[in-house]
Amino acid sequence: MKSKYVKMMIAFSLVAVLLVGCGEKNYEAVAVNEAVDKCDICNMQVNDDGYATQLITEEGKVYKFDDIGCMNEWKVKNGVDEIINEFVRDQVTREWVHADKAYYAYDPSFKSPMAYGLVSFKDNTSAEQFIGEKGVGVLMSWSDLSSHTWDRNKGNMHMKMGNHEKSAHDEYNALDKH
Amino acid sequence: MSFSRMLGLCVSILFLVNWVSPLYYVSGQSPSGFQALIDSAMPEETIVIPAGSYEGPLVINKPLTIIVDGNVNLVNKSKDPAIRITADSVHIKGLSIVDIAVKESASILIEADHVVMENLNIRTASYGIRLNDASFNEIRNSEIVWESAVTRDAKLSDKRNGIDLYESHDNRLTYNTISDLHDGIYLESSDRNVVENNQIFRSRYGVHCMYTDGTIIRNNVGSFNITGAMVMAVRNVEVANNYFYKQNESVNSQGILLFDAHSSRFYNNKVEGNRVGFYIEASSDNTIIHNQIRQNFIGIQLIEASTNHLSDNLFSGNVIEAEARSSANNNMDGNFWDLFRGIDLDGDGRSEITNAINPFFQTVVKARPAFQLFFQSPGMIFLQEMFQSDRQQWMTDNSPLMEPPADIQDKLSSQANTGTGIMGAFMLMVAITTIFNLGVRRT
Repeated sequence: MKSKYVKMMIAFSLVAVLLVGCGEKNYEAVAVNEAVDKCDICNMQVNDDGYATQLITEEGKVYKFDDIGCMNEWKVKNGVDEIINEFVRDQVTREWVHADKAYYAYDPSFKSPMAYGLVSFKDNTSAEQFIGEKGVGVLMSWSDLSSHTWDRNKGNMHMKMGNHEKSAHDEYNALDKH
Repeated sequence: MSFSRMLGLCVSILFLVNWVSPLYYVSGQSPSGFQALIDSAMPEETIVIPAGSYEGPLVINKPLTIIVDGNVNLVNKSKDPAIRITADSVHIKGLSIVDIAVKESASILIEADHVVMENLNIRTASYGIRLNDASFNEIRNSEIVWESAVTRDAKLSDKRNGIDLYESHDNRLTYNTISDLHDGIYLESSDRNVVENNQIFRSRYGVHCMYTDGTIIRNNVGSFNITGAMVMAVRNVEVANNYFYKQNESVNSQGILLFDAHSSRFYNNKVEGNRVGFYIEASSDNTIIHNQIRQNFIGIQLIEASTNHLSDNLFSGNVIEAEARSSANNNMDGNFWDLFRGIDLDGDGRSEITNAINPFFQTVVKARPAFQLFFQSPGMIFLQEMFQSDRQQWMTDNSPLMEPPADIQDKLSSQANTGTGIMGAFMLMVAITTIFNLGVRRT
């Protein structure tokens, strides 16, 4: 009989510990789990790659996205008031970087999961190097992104200008052949 | 027919007749033998590759027909494509390719038009076949699989697509088998392509469209992918007669997913045993008719979808038939829901009671995903029944069918009848024999 009480006590204290654990809010970046994570906007799987982004709200809820453009879309839909942290990834090292401290290379020809054409880096030198290697693109900071048009480049170009818009894919070909 | 083409034809006929001619043969073991053969061939010539193993990479920069005599294996260890095609009207048949480098460049890169690839067998650690600004090409009867020998524990994101189209129009992809890759067939900014009679297994998405117009996805089969057909940011797409089953191994899997899809047609598809049969979000003006949605966890799920037309669909054996949120403005009528009990007062085969889809659970789960634990719990069902506000805003089937659509019903009942009939007869026989033998002897 006594051992039963002891067991119960242990069980209760475990639950208590767990509950205390829940109380602490952690706003750090969370790893991507390819098996379960899907983009909160476009429903695609979030790949554990350099394009993954995430934002964390006051409540500690984590929203992951496959493309920084989808994260922007989330902010348009839900507002920014509750957001504590936004993270993007360094394209080279894959480490999580605070989105406001990252640098971005942008060109309509850059491939990304939802074709927003933005690639993120932890510092401006690696972003510049990327642009140098590709031979196209502009360097953007977080504040530049606030005035960004967020066109899904290829899509919009494609849908609006018909099927034979050449300039962008010629650029793309040039890149692919490097 | 141009002179050169005639010449090419004559040469190839001559060649086929005298196929032992040593002139065109090179040593099977020579690493550059294959490329040398290509380089020395005249445009529009047919070359026959003798059996053996060759080393890539190859570049084909003139119109050629390449056929094989026996087993021809092209092994590529380089970071370049195993075969890169830069000239129009290249035709390759019957080659096996093993491309073992994990890289960004495809195993076969096509940057030309009117190319035909058939009966190929590709084992790739990258993209299988990539079409880049390439139109009017045909890829058929080919098998593309992930090269597992070198990269056994690859994550999905390490893998590349089976057939990948970028800015490539009017191509035909038919009768291919693709397995264990990222997306089986991926089309981006590519229009009027035909994807027909392909089979795609154990990949991320079976067929994945992004920014396409006029794509036709017909008669394909997919299973154990995360999603059978992922139709995103498209217009005028036709998805018909496909069979997507057992897309249920991922928590996010669906038979067919529509996101930002407009003015497209989805008919005669069968989605069976998936987590979600049809998932429709932010899509409008689509026609979804005469599909069979069977044994899925959720039959159809609509989120912020409007002005779609859904009718003559069969919902059978799904755990939840439908879920909808913010999707009032759709035209849904005349579907058969096997969990719905309707009343037909005027005998027209349609229920006078409407089937309204309660958005309560979806809305709760959206706010608190952990509440999925309370799925179908008595409390949740009770709350759902309490929640009747804004009923006119719910997605509603205005006249559900009392019986499954006629042609679908036939298949079902005939299957059921023969099966049960035989079983019944057999059991009757067993019973009679038992009673007759044992029962008589005891008395």
